[in-house]
Amino acid sequence: MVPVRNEAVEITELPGGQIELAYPLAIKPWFGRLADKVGLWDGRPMTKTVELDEMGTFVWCRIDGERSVRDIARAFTEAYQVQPREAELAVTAFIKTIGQRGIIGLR
Amino acid sequence: MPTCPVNMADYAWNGIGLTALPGWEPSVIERDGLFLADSLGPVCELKWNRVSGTFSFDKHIRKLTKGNKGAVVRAANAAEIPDAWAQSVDRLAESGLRAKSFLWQADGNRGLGAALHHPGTGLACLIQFFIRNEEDEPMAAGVLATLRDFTGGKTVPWTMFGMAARVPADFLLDTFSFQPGHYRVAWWRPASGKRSGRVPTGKGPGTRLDFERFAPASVLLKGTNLEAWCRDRLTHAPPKSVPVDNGPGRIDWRGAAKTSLLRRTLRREVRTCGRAWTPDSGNVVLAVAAEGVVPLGPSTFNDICGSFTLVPEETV
Repeated sequence: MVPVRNEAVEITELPGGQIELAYPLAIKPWFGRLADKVGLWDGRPMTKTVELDEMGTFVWCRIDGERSVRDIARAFTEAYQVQPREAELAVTAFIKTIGQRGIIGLR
Repeated sequence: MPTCPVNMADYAWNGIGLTALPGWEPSVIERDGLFLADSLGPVCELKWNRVSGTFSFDKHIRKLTKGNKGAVVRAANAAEIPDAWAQSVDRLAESGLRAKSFLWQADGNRGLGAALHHPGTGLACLIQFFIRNEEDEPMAAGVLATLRDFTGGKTVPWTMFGMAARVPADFLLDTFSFQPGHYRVAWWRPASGKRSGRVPTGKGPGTRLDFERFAPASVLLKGTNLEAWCRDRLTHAPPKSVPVDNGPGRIDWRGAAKTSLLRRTLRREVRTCGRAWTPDSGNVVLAVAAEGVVPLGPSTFNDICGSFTLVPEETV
């Protein structure tokens, strides 16, 4: 599986070398209609931000649409000297989390 | 003699140990059970217990038959078991483990197993292998031959996921977790010293012994020091009242975690000691902490910490 970045995600580099991602929020239609009716939403896409730590930034920088999850986990193992299975679990969990938020897709 | 490929991984857990084939990994870990699997599925199941008195192989195989209604389980006679397996059983018998082999068949799968008992230590063990093809039989026999009973020693080794240590035999395995970045194995010794199953492990007066491994140390310790990090993150962190000795890449502490006049009078003062360090090899923080009303002597604690090491694992 190869993770692919969502092009709508805005990337901001933070002073410590880490990364902040701003991603469009998926809103349930019923909630959008309700928020619109009570004047809480003007219809523009809502965004949410998430700040990645050092390891998250490491993985994000390797999501280029070419490297597979296994390749990224292997790079993670080498960079942080953790066990291969530990890296696979950590990278997979991270990719699943950002995937659920629509920050990346998998192909 | 059955042959096994090199680069096998050692596992020792709560009194028993075996050497697994490359690619075999624990998929389920229990206090008294291990399930090993490879990329294709389950390969080996191991369950054990300590029994007192006599042990009936036939009774246990009958129990297996009743417990697995979808499977046909039967004791194997000498003609049915592969030569390599028979040699492994003989080898185990030399170390005091008596065994009776059995065969099972269910839903197109078949397996080969053995019920084992060590009359000296009381260990009763059930091991079974999932046989997918003929080549699996000598492999299973090779792994069977590596089965070890560690329950009779003064210390019990454990080796799991690249960590290894030895604990005094009077400690019982309590809880454990293996999360990415944080591995923890906790042991418990009741103050009474009794090993009966009546008192739940970890309850009542006694001593808790925690082994922890955190990774990657280079990230965790960025912008902080080992002492500050340990006080914040260890499961049984050194209390603020206990001074910590700082050495290069290592901290030690020893003192009273909970004390008062009443506690001292009732002999319920909780003593704690611990050590955390960053080993030369491996980007990890290792920590051992002992806490409870029965203190661990400095020499014993030192031996325990000395035994807690990282073991190289096969790389994929």
